[in-house]
Amino acid sequence: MKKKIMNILVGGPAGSGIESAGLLLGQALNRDGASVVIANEIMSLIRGGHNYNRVRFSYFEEVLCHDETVDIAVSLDQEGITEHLSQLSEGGVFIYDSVLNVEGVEAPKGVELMSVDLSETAKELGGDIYKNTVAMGVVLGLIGEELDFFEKLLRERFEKKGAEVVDANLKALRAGSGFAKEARFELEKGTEFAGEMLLNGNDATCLGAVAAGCKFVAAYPMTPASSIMHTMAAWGREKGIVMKHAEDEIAAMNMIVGAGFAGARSMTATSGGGFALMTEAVGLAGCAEVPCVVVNSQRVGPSTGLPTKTEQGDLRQVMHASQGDFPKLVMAPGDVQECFSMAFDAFNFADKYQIPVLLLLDKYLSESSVSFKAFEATDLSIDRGKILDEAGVAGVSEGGFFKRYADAEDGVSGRTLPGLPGGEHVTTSYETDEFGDLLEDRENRVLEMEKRMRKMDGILAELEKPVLIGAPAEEAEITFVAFGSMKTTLEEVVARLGETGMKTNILMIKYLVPFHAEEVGAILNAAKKAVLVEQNYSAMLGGVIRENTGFDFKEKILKYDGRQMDSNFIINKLAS
Amino acid sequence: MTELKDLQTRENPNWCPGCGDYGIQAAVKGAIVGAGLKSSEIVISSGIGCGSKIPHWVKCYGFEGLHGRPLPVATGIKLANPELTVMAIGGDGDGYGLGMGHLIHSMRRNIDITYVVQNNQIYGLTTGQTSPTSDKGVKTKSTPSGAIEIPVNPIELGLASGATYIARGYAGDLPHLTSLIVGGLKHRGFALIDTFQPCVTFNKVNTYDFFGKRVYRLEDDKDFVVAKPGDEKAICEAVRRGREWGERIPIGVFYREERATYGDEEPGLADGSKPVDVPSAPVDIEELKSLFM
Repeated sequence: MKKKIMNILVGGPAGSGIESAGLLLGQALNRDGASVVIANEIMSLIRGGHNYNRVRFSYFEEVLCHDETVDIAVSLDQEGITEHLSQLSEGGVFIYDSVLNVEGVEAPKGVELMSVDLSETAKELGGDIYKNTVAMGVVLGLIGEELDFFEKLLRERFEKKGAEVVDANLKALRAGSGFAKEARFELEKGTEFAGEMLLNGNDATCLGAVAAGCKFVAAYPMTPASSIMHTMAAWGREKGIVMKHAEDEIAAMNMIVGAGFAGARSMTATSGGGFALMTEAVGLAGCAEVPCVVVNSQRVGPSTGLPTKTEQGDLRQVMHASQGDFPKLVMAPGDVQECFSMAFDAFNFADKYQIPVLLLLDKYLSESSVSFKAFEATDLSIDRGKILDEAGVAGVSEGGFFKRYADAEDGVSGRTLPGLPGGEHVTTSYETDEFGDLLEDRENRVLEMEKRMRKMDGILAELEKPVLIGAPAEEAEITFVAFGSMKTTLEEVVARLGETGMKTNILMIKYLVPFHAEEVGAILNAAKKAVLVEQNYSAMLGGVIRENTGFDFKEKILKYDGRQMDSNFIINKLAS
Repeated sequence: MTELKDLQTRENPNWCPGCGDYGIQAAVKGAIVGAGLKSSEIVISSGIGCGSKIPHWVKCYGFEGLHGRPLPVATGIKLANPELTVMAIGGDGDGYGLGMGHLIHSMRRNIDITYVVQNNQIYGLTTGQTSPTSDKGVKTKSTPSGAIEIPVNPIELGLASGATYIARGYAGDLPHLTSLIVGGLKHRGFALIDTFQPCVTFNKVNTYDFFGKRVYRLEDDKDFVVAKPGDEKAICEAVRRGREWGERIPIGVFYREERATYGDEEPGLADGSKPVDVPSAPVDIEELKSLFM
């Protein structure tokens, strides 16, 4: 069977190494010039339970997102048989370990059930751990791929463990390929995606932060944000980054505010529960006018919810974090490229406007790896905003005292960093006068409040205006509206509908606060049909759009089962 | 070098007349001068409470943050720019109540911060509720029938948590308190200086008269030696003195230890690198990119 895009699922018990096998396959394919997406589904357990990875790839066209329908599935456990058999497309192959019980299991029409001695072969080679490599061999055999590109990566990966381990892995791979007997699929080739990076949203966010000169991170582990702290810690020594694993999220957030005040570019990363604890200090940064960047990678709530699954339910929590009114920027990247560029920009906005910048990711974006053109930092520049030197201080001082919160047309007062003589002042969580001294006077309150809030005008004017992805406005029969990780799935939807002759486009809301009310309103009012697509229950983005523009969505596609919707889901919903 | 007049702020403190915080403010200023520090290179991080307003009345860099959080902010400042001298100052409610977790972790990580706790055994700013150091049985607005809990003992807490300079001062003994803070500022590592601060408005028990009759300086006691690691006998004695609460109450340095600070061992600060040195152009990420190819 000829295939432009292949989709392979590998599943097994948590802790069995099956996810890393999927990752390894994806990396090998990416190096070989395929466009690859790896999306995992993991359970909140260290061992036991069923985890799986989907590796979707093509040598023909760019692949952007996962697909629930798969061509080959491998299951190392009994749960995988019940969970995945129905996900196979016609002509698909379901590979299962021969030790599993398939009594009474019926394959869907056109699906081949294939029993392979995974456990037995692995045992002969030295242990259960080789099951994954045998399975990868079977997969490569079924798609008729030569083994050399995968063997190369195996050698590289297991070199440190010694020749014996490398040898056993190579034997496992070849044995697996032999089990396939003959290829069932033929991959169509057309485009070479050479030299691409394979990385997830968290990786891209870290690269953006490092490029921007972020050298202080304080965080507390929380899925799906933890890999940001791991990555920044791993790069710490080399890049001069302090990554402090704090005692809790309250400490982490207060630490980055302290570091931001001292003059570092600082960041934290968490998920909704941790963000709840950070909330008070987000307002502190807003009131004290301290630059810092906060990443919230959403998972399924409320409360602990489904800790390893995806959702977009923290939108309102992040938009409205902390008491009182204060200027802030909330933005939601839609793919790994935007994670990189918006993380970079976040530090400039934070410095320039002396505000907390909040980046909204989600589990799907944070943990799914995608082939992407290598980022270039060449067009980027660093803007630290108004940091004063001794001469600058002299201009905004009175009687030897520096006016840290001096009135300014753009709402941004010049700041001094500790260490600068003459710039001494107090930064505080209280309302203050221009000097930073506490003052409860009415006029002063209004002056300082309006000064701070004026920043929002500058930020909005500077933000890139919303653009339509896909068909031009006047030609589109449907305009899909979404934020964050919905982007890549919707791009696939638009492409697939395009193949059927239906023109559609996408309006991604990248900036939630401040909001492009005028532009978004104009696009929606002119749209033939607007369809809201969100991964949450109450259509939170729809509510935000309505309050800003008055536009009320008649059609909404919502999903809140913890699994990212794929293009089939959206297209089926449109048809129904 | 900084003189006392250089530390004068635009405004003067508005604490209640007779408040122990005046003594602490004077001691902090005296210690900055005594330790030979420049006002521009000092940051005082405070929380919320009467005493936490102190950064407004000592001219240097100040950060008056959230209730209970002066230590995490101070930690961020110190790790971002290790060249700064960082102090944290806050009350007993702030540090031993809301901020207790941060205090224990700050001590075990031996971050180079001097932490002065203004301990008045009561909540003053919120007009008189029980605090973590209130004596059992004390009647306050929140414990009209008497406090049920026993008080936190900061000296024992410091010993158990890995602080490397543990002292107790008294706002009524200015020269002594000043020297304790100088010692803390000169000490490399976490210095905990619990300080008796009479609250003349809401604490009618632990008054100047109460402390005046009871406090004695440890250094005046020939039998006492400052405890250090390995000296089990002295550590036991430090615990005993830390618990002494009755006719006689000791002030002074209980324990001192030379131990690498958190910053000394932080890989991100190796070779003099510091996070506040933000480059003027984007950082080269070519090498990092190759990790994903």
